[in-house]
Amino acid sequence: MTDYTKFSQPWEQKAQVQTRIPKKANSRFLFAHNPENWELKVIDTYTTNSEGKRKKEKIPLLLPVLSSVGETPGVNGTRAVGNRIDSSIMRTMMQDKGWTLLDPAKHDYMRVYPAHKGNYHTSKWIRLEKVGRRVIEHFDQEGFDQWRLELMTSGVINPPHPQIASLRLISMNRAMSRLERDQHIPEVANRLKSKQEELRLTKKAIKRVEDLGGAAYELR
Amino acid sequence: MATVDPIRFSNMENILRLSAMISQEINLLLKDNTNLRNTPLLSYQGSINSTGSDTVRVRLAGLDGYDSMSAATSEISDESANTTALTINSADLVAARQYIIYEMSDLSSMSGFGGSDVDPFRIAQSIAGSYETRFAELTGEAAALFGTTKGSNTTTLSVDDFFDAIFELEQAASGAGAPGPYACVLAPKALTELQDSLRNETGNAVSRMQSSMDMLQAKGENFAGNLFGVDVYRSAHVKENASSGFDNYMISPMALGFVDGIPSGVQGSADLMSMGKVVVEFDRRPMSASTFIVGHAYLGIGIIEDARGVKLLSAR
Repeated sequence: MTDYTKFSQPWEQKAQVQTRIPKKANSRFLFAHNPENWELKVIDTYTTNSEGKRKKEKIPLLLPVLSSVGETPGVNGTRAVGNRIDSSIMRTMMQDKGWTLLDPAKHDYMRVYPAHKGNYHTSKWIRLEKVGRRVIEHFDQEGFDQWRLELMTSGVINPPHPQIASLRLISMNRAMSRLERDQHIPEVANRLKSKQEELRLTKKAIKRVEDLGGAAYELR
Repeated sequence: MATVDPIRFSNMENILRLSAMISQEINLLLKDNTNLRNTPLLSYQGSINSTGSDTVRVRLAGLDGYDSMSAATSEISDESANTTALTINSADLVAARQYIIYEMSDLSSMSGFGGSDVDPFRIAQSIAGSYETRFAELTGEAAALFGTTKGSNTTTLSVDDFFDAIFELEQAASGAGAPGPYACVLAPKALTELQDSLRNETGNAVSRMQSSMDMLQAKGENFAGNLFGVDVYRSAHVKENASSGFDNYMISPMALGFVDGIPSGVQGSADLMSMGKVVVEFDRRPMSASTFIVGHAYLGIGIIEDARGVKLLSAR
């Protein structure tokens, strides 16, 4: 049924309905994963012991770093064909190099907002809010991590190769050795301590993958 | 007839006096249209004009030392079964239409002060700058596809991340190393984070370095300085990724390349201005007493060799 009450009358000011977000339009994108890119995350999980008590446990895991790859005509082989965007050259090239492409229609991660000169595409974990002249973004990191974990448990993304994961340790060791000389300075000592903890957790995460393979991501 | 006593500005405003006298000069709003187009860091792979395609396929071959020789098993052994396969690769750069359109009414144009006031010709001149901005945007988009990632979407950019990116390029292609010079393009926020991290450096080799001090100085232009041998640029067009981070990037020559095309001999166009890589036309709408100022460019940017670039993530 049509609601005619929303028509403005001559004595009324025109209703200004702000439907566009104050950002420039951007291209549609794909989330994709290159098998070299992983990051450490500590996931909280709850286990029940033999006495029936719930116990919180922190499990370090290597989660995939996802790249958002834009489908922009003129970029990386993408072209406009008729009224649609053809990114087949880019997708083929990425698959040849071992990337895993995540189809937004299948994994439901993209959100589209009307913006200046088109649509603004972003992920569903980003919430936009306008404060003054700024557009503030809130990112649901926990939800995003949970989704990445699901990608691992469902086998969409293969677990990291231990050798690739170990490369992270080299750069972490390098960063620590730069700090070790100055550990008499309290703030450097703190940075060193946090890096040592990160190294310990990364080693633990790699060991977990080596021992359990894909099952390393099944936390329950 | 109204009378005024005493004579005050507020009485005369909008009748005998102007509420505001607008400045003769049109001053520019803040903008960022700097890009790496005219530097050796981006490889120009030519124009698509008269090539029969919208695509340039950049051919890559492993020559001049890519393959090494091997020792023969003996001085008279037949090694014909051990020929070397030539390694080849290619990258396709596709030029696509980029545009900008303004519409200006006759009344807004004719009421201008003349000279360099905003009129269709001044808008046309401005479109040349829009091309440079678009070039910077597309460069950031193209760099977002680099396979190797350093830094993180959840942490601020640090000197450690910057070093990681340098080491990655120095060890690229199984240790062959990407030849310099290297350049790093950072989102303004990431640059300030890097400067902050530099200020907190305690290692003498870094903190006492002249280039570290130079990096901390505020500079007006997009070139922020040279840090550890890498030219650092600030750009507002670094891509914002969908994981709440910036896709900053560090590149060496031949990491990224571009192609373009310029329409020529356009039939039926009465007013066509060729401004470098951009073509600007006027589309007259007499029924609405307005003129469209239309700018077109054909541009394609892409990764030529992935190993020559690194994505440097930082939190947004």
